[in-house]
Amino acid sequence: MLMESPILNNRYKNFILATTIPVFILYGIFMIFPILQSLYYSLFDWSGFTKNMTFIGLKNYAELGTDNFFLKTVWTSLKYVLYGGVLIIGITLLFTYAITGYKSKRMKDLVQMILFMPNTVSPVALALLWGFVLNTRWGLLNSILQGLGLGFLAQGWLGDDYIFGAALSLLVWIHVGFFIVIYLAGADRIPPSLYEAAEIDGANEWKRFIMITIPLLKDVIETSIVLWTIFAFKIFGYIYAFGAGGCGSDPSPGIRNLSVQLYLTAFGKRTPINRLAYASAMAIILLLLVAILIYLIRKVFKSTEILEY
Amino acid sequence: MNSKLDQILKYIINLFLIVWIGFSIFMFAWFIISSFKSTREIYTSVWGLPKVFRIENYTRVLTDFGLARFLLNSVLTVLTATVLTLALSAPISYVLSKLKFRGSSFITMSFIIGIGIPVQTIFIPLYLMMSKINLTDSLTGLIWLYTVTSLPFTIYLLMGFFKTIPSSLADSAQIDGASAWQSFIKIMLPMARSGILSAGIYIFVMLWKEFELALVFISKEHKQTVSLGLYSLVTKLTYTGDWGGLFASVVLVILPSVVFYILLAKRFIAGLTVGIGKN
Repeated sequence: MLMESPILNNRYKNFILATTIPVFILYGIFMIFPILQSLYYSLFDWSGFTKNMTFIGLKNYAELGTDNFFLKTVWTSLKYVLYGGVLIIGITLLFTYAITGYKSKRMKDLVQMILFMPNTVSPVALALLWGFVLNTRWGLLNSILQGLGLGFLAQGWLGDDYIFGAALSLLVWIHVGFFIVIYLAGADRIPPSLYEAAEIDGANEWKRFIMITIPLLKDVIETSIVLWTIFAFKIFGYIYAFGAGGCGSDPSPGIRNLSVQLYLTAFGKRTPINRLAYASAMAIILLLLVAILIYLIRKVFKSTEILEY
Repeated sequence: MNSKLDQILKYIINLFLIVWIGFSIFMFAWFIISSFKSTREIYTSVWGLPKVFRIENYTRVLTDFGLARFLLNSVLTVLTATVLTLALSAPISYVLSKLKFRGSSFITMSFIIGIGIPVQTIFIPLYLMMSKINLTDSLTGLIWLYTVTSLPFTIYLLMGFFKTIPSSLADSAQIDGASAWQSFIKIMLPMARSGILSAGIYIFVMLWKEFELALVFISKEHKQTVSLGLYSLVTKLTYTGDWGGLFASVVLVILPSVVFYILLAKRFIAGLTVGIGKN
């Protein structure tokens, strides 16, 4: 590359400075510096809206450790990571198997486009939609069950017993569409010669998928697990707008992840808590949990055998 | 025997996929159909067709419930933020992907990390910062927030694109005496046009449906964007029982991004997946 020649180096210098420094500073001020500020605020007893700021050290963190509401949202977030992860990655892999078998490129594109579609829609609209699907009296699911003569299976899906599954199913429906796009792009890049060789060896389609596609998608699978872990903690709109008792109320405690609880603690309007410093401590825990989980996922993937192709 | 089992498995998976897709299409179609029904029709048959297609629901929500205002706010905010994000990201992405200099990998890394930072970890300090400079309840403030939070992923996407463009042309222009800016604007930008367009579509669609930042930073009704406006409308219209109006609102809110996406789906997906599989 040209940069290695010292004569041209100077000509680039101003260009590099002019393109990188302003953007990097902007990014630093609005995205990196606030993390440090969150850390700072978390050491105080402070509503955020008054001048009364008392330094209390790590007391906010100690309180989080005994705050059952908070601990429950951490647990719920982890449940989203785990159950959601297994369902989403599993279904996405099955769909990858089905779609890579299509002969027609146009068909592939069409199916992929429809699967991704929910990701382009306002989360408020989707949460509302899911309310209609799962409504006890006239929802789509219960109507279908009754139509099939399986009325005894109909449930109050939005009641406390099923609400977590209800929210989870919405997230699965949306994110399978998101990850399938990445998986198919990954599968497209696998050299066809590998499949041909396996076919000659007598491996059938399913075996080829297990033996070739999945191992070669390892990077993609790792990326998707990392992304889903981040999503599970930070997803907000779908859950916030998924009002249990009809729209317009705070989301049911059973489906709140860390983000939603954080928002309610800091800015929630229906039952104002307004503890900005305490919520800042939650923000730091959120960041730490995500970082630790990503580290662990990477470690697990690194320890599995590296395949050459 | 084994291959027969495989065949059955394949049928089951395909059936599952067909049901899944059928459901998705049905749900979108149902939204649209319901928006033409009167509230009474929705009550009597939720999943049926309307007798006549009426557009009163649309005119009502656009005028009486201020949806036109929300749409206008979103168009202004999202378009400006998209253009601003691209203008800020394109040059730096080019530099980071093509030139090695001291600090370049540090800067690249910090942007990559930014993709993983949940906005919740920073919105309290951001809120306090923005209210100090009077940029809460302001579309200008929202444009800034949208731009800054879109930077990391956009830079990541565009770096992927610039990497696929050979640098030989720009290099030879440099030898011919063009300045770095000239060779970037005259040679690299035109070659990266399709990549920049894909990234732009992606940013537009993602910001169009954005909800959380709007919820935190905007409270005045006439400043609300579509997702937030829809949220307040849901509360209002379910309270008055105006289901027809509710569906019309949903359709109007999701239509721009869905149509945009359908028309440009190929580009959109290409933009999203450019970095996949080549580490």
